Amino acid sequence: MAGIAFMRRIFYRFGFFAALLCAVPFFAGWADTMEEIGDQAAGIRTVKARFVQEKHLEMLDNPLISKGELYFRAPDSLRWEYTDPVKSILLMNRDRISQYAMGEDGMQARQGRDLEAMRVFLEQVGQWIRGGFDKNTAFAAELKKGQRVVLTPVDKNISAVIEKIELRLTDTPGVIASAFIYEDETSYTRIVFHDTKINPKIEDSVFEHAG
Amino acid sequence: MNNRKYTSSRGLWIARPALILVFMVFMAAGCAGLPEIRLEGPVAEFRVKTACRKVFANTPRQVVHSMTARMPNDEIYQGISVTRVSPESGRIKCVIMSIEGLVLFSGQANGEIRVERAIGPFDSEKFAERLFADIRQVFLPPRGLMVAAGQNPDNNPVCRYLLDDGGFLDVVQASPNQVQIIEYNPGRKKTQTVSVTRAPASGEAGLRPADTIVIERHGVLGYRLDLERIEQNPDSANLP
Repeated sequence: MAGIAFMRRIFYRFGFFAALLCAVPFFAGWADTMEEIGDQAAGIRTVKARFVQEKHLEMLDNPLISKGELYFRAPDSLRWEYTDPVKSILLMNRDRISQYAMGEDGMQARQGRDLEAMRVFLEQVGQWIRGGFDKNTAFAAELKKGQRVVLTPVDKNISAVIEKIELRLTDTPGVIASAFIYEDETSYTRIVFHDTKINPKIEDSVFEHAG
Repeated sequence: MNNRKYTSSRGLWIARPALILVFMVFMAAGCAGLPEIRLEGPVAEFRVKTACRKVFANTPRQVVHSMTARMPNDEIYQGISVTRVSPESGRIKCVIMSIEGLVLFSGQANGEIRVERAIGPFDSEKFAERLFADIRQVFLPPRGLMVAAGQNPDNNPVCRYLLDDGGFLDVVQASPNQVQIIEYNPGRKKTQTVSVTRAPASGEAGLRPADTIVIERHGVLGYRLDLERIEQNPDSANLP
């Protein structure tokens, strides 16, 4: 039992991190105010993109590179998939959340009670997707010069894990160039999005199973 | 004969195999969990000992692994680990992160353990101790005296170390591409098995990086860690 509680707490923390990553591409494009960002986000029904994730650590000469794809359909369907070097898929479809990991017999589903912890955070993520930065109580959002949005955690539990998040926007509404998630002065994650498509047609099956 | 044995270091050297043999016979007779080691003469012993030493890193190296943990409750978790070991100094540095990149644990050990970042529950002292003990066992030569080198009941070459805590560690060449490091507690009960596998390739097995490492902790609170190498950076000038 102690082991279950132990791992649930782990998931509670890094499940939130995964949720943050999922939310990152959906921040809308350039605007002068948060309200305008919210208005632009309202037009996003689906998103499809590829991403390259760089993990920068003090002890690594070169960043650790991961690659993957994401699919989103408003209001609450998401597929966040790592394809290299470790295969892993997070699926959210309405009220169902599942995660798949590469096992001995291919991709295997993990559907433990601990995945429910993700749901709490997805409510916050949902607010971001709809452009409601100011409605989010966990982060303070600030629009900066140079098409940047800086999110600073307000919640103590989150600030213990993440120092700040910086989003670099493109000129195209709904498309973000990159995201920086700073953990501390020695560690940060940079995610660069490419091949981003706004409002493409996405099959239901993409959000339903790993295949 | 006895005088020579105790007054001359050369004499002690000559007598050592005989002492070890007696010790091993005694040990095998008294310990059901500890497999018997068959000694096969000085030439074979030298060959086995040399192979055992090659199992462990003799130069600094840094390895990135994908990691799958199977916990006692059968839950499965994935992550990525970055491990740096320096055999000369015995220094170990390790970072564990989620697949999403969140650093869950960062710390180093060189005699004493220093945790630089740990997200609860990775902030427990016990976790750090176990983690660095596992890394040390996989990458660095055992802290203990090699008391026998020969063949186990499966006819596989094996070296046995007597550990500081009174336990034993067997380094077994289980197949041409796989080495097993098996730990026994002072009660001679098997407590941990590490399987280090290298893909078939030309060259000396011990010098090739491990492709997969499986750590199985036995017992009620046992766990299993599957590590698959993503990259390795041996002998880097930047390593300490």
